[in-house]
Amino acid sequence: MRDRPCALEDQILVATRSDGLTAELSRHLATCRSCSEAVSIDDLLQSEARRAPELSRLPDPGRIWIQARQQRLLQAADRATRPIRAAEKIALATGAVGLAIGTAMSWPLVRSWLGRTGTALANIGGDTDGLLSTNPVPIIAGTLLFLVLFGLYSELVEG
Amino acid sequence: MVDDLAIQTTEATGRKSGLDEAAFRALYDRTARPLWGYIARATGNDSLADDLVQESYFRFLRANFEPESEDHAKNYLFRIATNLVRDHFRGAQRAQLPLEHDPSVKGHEHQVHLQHDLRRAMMQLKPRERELLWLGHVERFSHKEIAEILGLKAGSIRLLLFRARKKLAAMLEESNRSVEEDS
Repeated sequence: MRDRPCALEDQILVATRSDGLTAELSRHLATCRSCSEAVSIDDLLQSEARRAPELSRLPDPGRIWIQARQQRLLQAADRATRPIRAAEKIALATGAVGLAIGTAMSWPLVRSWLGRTGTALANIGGDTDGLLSTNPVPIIAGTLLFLVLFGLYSELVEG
Repeated sequence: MVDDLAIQTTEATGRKSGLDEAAFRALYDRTARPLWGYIARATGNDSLADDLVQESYFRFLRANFEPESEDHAKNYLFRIATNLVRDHFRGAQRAQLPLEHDPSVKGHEHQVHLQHDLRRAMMQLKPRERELLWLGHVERFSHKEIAEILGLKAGSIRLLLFRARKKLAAMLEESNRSVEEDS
């Protein structure tokens, strides 16, 4: 048996599928093993194909449609808010860097404030005027730095 | 055929945005059974075919694909299904699932045996051979279409199909011979 498909195979298949086998093709089919195999397999696979379930047993197209639409809406919302999220991240990062630079530049002030705060905390229950009368800038800066870093961390964790 | 699919055009942008629901349902009605048949024979598992049919359409819709014709949409669907089937086989070594008994196969006992042998033999073929045979002999896609769906060269389809058919025929012959010897 040859290892190449018969040149008449396509013609034979088309003819048998449409019941249009000519006498000449019939004679060829009777002698060509490759073609007769092709026709037999074609018949078998065709009858096997009829085993597919009724449409009603298959998944509901309406449900597929709704799920896909929901998924598309979520993707669209995600795409639409991507620039906003990116801007938020940039703003948070810029703020954090700015505060870090500000803190570094006014480090002597921060250090003296920290020293006074330490002393005040050690004297809790005593005189707290020292703490309250200190410069509020480092306190605010420190709090903001903490909040910005926390925000940046949350943003990165969320995605 | 493009009209049949009723490709929806968004009013706001005038840009095509895939199918509308009615067009999708129409496409589903015409393609779901053949697609199920293809996946079921390629995987040898009817339940899995149910899931993969659903996933194929789901991916089709999510891709917001703009088909030029129904044939184009069908080819694309079969390509998605082929990839899903491959993902299935690419996963951890799957246990060979038993061939499911199908009570819908009626008729002559000989025919039932033949169908059973065919399913068994099909499962002994490589997934690609099963895909080739199904696409070529059941769906009757052209060699060019089969090549697109399976990601092969169009020029090689004829020979690959011939070899797969020859292998299947040899298996069926062998199975038939064993039955005759037993009886």
